[in-house]
Amino acid sequence: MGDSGINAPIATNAMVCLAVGLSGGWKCPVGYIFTNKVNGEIMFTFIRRVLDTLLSKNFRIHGIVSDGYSANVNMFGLFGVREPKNSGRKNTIAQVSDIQCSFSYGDQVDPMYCIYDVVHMLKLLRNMLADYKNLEFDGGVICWSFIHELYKLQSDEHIRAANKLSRNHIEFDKHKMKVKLAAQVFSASVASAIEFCDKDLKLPQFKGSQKTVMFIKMIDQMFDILNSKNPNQKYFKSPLNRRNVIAKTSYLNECSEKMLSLKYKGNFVCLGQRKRAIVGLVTSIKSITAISMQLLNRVISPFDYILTYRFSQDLLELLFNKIRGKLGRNNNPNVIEFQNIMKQIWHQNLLKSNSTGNAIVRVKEGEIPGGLLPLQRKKKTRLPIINFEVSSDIDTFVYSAFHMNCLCYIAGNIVRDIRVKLDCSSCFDAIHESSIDALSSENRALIARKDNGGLVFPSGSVLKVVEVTDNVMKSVFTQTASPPSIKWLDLKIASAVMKRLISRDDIFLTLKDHINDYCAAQSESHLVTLLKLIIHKYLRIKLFDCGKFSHENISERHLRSKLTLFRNE
Amino acid sequence: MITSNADQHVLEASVKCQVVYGLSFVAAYIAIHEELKKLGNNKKQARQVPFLALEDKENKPEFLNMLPKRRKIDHCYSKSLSPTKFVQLESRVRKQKQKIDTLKRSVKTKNLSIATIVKKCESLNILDVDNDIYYQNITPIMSELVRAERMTERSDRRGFRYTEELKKFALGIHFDSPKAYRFLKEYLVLPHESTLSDWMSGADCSPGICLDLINRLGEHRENDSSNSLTDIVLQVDEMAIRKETPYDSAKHCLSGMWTTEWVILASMPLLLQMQWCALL
Repeated sequence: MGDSGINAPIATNAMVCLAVGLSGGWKCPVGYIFTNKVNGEIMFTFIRRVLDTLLSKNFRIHGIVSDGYSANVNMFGLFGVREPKNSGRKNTIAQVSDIQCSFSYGDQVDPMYCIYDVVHMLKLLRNMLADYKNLEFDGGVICWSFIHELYKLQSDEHIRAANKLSRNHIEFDKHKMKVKLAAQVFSASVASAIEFCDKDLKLPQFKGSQKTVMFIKMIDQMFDILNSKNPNQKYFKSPLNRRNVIAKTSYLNECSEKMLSLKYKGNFVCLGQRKRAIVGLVTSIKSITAISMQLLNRVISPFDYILTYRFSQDLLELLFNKIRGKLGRNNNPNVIEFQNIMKQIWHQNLLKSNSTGNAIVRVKEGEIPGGLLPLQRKKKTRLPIINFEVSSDIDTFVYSAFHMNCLCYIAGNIVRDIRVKLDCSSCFDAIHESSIDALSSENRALIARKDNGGLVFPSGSVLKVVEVTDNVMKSVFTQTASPPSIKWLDLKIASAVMKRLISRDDIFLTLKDHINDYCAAQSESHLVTLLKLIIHKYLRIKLFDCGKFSHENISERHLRSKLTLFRNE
Repeated sequence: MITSNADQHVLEASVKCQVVYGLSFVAAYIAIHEELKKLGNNKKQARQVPFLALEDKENKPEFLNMLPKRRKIDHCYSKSLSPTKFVQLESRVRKQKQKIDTLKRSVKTKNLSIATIVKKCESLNILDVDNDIYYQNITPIMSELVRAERMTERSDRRGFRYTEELKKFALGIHFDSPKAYRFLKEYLVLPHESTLSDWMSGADCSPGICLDLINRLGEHRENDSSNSLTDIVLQVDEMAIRKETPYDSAKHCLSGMWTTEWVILASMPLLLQMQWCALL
């Protein structure tokens, strides 16, 4: 974070970039930044930097995977990915070739491809079908109502025709994120159940469902091809290899042409508002097949097979799960916690092979022994000497009696804390209340009320120092409106406070003669050391507090989780 | 429960030999165990030859002694042993005696051979810890540990540094089980736990690209023979975090804002960006 003094907005999201090995079955996060519903430009610059550094190490990057949010689409647009646009003339069918999903970058010979997460697209497709109800497809109609009818039939009869349809699948609003629900709707079992009701039982409500069945089967098979996890699977779930790649590619191309021809109320879906599902799927298909063709047929060390699961964003989501699980009960890390978690993950070496690896040769567990980061002692940075002046035109704040009492209480705590560090008896006496340096009676009320015998009454001078510190801190905060992201914040405030305190001659009167005693180690007089201790202690307390205080709002997450847990009470 | 002196010598010598030939202690331990097992199978012979006293009466739990002993009751008061049985028994005794002799002889030869090997080793200085041959014959981690051990024997211990390999080894054990690490630390020369955390916190993981990490991956990619690290795909996504501005006492500032560096970078024109990145 630079010392630019820019008051950047507060981050709500962390954008993580993950490198996934296409063979060997490994993954490793390579970088992250804090943003706020990222815009395409920041993402673009970040990814470009990642690409540059990875390419300089001779990695071969074949694609960039992301989900289909508008920021990501913008980012791909900046890379040079083109999508079919409505050219004004209606009803011109978009071709697969209209989508340009590859771009070249840097000095890498192979082109890079943009890939949208297939799983995500499946969810979008499901949402679209449920919203639009009817889609024109291949001269027929696809109806969401058939799936609904099947569910109704099953729930009336209290038995299911060998599929997973449940209420959650139909009313999926509350579970929009669940992949399972979308994948189980577009499944072969649902398709065959509908077909069975129509063809064999000849139920009237399933009349004319051929195209729907066809569509569901098509999506199911397409998803199987694009999500192959295990090299031993058969048929559609088998990995892409040299024998089947051509057949599968042609099948996928056929599918994507059919998808592009989907119409809603006479208009092509892929040119309309909700084009993302269709365009995303087609783009992914095109990219994945192109990458696999290239990897399987290249001259130097060609792949034996390709598991398409490696192109899905699941791996990144699993990493997020891991991050959220690191803090025990707290599954919502803040910025510092996030940073520490990433450090932990890198040290612990996530470069492990899992069962869904993509090759015969796996990266062995701990192939890179130890962590991935170098082990060195922390470099000790010398604290800079800072000259910082707060504009003096801001009047000192006048505090209410309540505020003063609270400050006095904090001052008492500070005294209790720092007195163990002092080895000079006159300093020790000076920070405790005495007859020479007494607190005014109205300021000591809170401590007196709260005291059970263990609390400490600070001397009047300590309270004055604390008051000045609070004053300066407040004026710094009002100058910059929001909490400032200034580097060396506490040191700067401390130096400003010291400047103000020098001119005052009503503090620590008992130590006036003591000023000549030097602390040998720090070459400072005892008085200065004492003041610094008090100021830094107060700032530490206050700054930790204000980090939380400035955005204090009642947590909705807490409310909701409690409502769920105690619903019946 | 080894009783005879000679056997102890055998075991000691065999341990030495195992170490000398580069096997780990575990292997030696297993080898000895197997030897003991073999001896256990020849229980009878073992008892006749004072090789191993496998039953230790004193160590028997007391309740065993308190149980009523089973008496052998001889029912044949008047009958004498049949002649055939007598002959059988006699032949058995003869056979056993022969076995004893052969075993005794084998022990003798084994003792001799071990003695010669030890002598040879001593003549070659292999057992000398100061000799380089010693380190060549054991695994790298073991040699590091022995070196560290030797260092503690010196009066002047300044200037000792743990090597990168030992650091990673220590960290690996500590990650797998801190308890085991604490146990091992009593017997081996290993860095203190707080030193480990010191090393860990030294790494720079602030937002942005982790260059150290990419360097290490790249290094490994070059050494990788199976070529499984080269072809990759990048995945990008966002994850919601807590909206908060916590005070970072290490950096002396309030954190939790956008990573400004990238905001500034994104707002620059492309050419400037390139130059700026080159500077980094």
